[in-house]
Amino acid sequence: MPLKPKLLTIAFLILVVPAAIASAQDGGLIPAADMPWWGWVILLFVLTLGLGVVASLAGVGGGVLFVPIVSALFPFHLDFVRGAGLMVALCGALSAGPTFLMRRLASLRLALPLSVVGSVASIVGAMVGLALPVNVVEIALGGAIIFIVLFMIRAARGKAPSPTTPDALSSALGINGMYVDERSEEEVGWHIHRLPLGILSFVGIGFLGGLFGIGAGWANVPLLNLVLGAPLKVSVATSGLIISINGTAAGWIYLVRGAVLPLIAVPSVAGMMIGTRIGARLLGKTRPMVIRWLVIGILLLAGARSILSGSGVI
Amino acid sequence: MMNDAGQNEELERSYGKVLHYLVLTGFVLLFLMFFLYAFGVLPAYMDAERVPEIWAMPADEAQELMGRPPFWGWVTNLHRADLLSLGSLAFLTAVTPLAFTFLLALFLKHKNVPYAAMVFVEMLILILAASGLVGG
Repeated sequence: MPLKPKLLTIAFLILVVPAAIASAQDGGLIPAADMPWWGWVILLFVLTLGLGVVASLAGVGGGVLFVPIVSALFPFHLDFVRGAGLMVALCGALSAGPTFLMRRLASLRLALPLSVVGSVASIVGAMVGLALPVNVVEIALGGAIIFIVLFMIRAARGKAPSPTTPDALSSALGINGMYVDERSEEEVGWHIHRLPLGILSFVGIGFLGGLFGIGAGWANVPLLNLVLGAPLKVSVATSGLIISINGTAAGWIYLVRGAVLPLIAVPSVAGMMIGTRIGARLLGKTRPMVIRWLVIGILLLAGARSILSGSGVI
Repeated sequence: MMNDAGQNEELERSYGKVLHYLVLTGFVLLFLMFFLYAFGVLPAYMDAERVPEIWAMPADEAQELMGRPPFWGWVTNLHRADLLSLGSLAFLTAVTPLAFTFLLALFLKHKNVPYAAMVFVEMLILILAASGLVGG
């Protein structure tokens, strides 16, 4: 079988089949009451594995796919889905962090000033999210997902400006660096500009990440790259470092409030981590733009479904 | 001092190594504790087969119905598999503040006061979040 149909078949099996079974909770293929707990755990693991493959191929974080899709397909309360989503985003960022740091791609000096404000905003977001009625959170989540999709489309078309002069604050904090480009094997130096604007933006990004438990790579990377002018590789790696700090802050709020169930969080973390590794291996054999548009389509549907569910239409 | 690329590299590599060992320990604990819970090797506060009774409820209601001790109660219930599994997730959530104690010492060693202050403030924020004093 040629590679592309084979990939599509695998994608169909790991995404559509569990989704169809899970969405038939109320009297469908397998009614919720008849499915043993371990059946749900296996379905969740298989679905998140599929999400991990797709997220990795599309170049988006797993957290942003996890919350809208799992909340749409599984009988779990949104509190537990957001708690698990934060754990998924946090564990993904933590597992990639050491490699990025040792390859000098992630910058602690760039991450720290943004994380200090981002983590406070993330805690506030988590507290607000757990205090609001679920239908309000669903409508807001749907709106945020549709906004994120539009943001992703716009960011994909954006061209990174190359900063000519570092701003005073980033100069004073010594935010600059150098990494080795693997293709050219040359050292690439970088610095940033507009740090105060970046710090201000992280108030909003941190708040949304904590509120919805969706991680924040979708916003971190374009902000670091397009607004602050950091190279794309440095932006991706540093974004992970920021998620590992801000996700920790919001994660504690969800843990302490009892909004993390190991039975949901652990299979999700395992599935997403294995899936992203498989996705990374398949990266050279697929067309990332096709996958990216597929993800945009899935997110639009999940966002619309979340708004309709929160409004009581479905 | 602030623009010393060598200092930057040393800091990031050292922090990366500490993070690597903490994350590795965290993942081993995560899967080991989940195995003990899911396969019923140790008794649980709420057995896995009963969790579907509460997973469709808001977190507050589920917590009340379970009658589980407050979050930090797992520390005194180390024989309960579900709380151990929760503890392993808490360990992963504690990786960053734990690694930050090492990072703080590194920044202080290099007399980098602004970054030492930022790490210290971040640690305070994370400890406050974990304490349950905010949003708990």
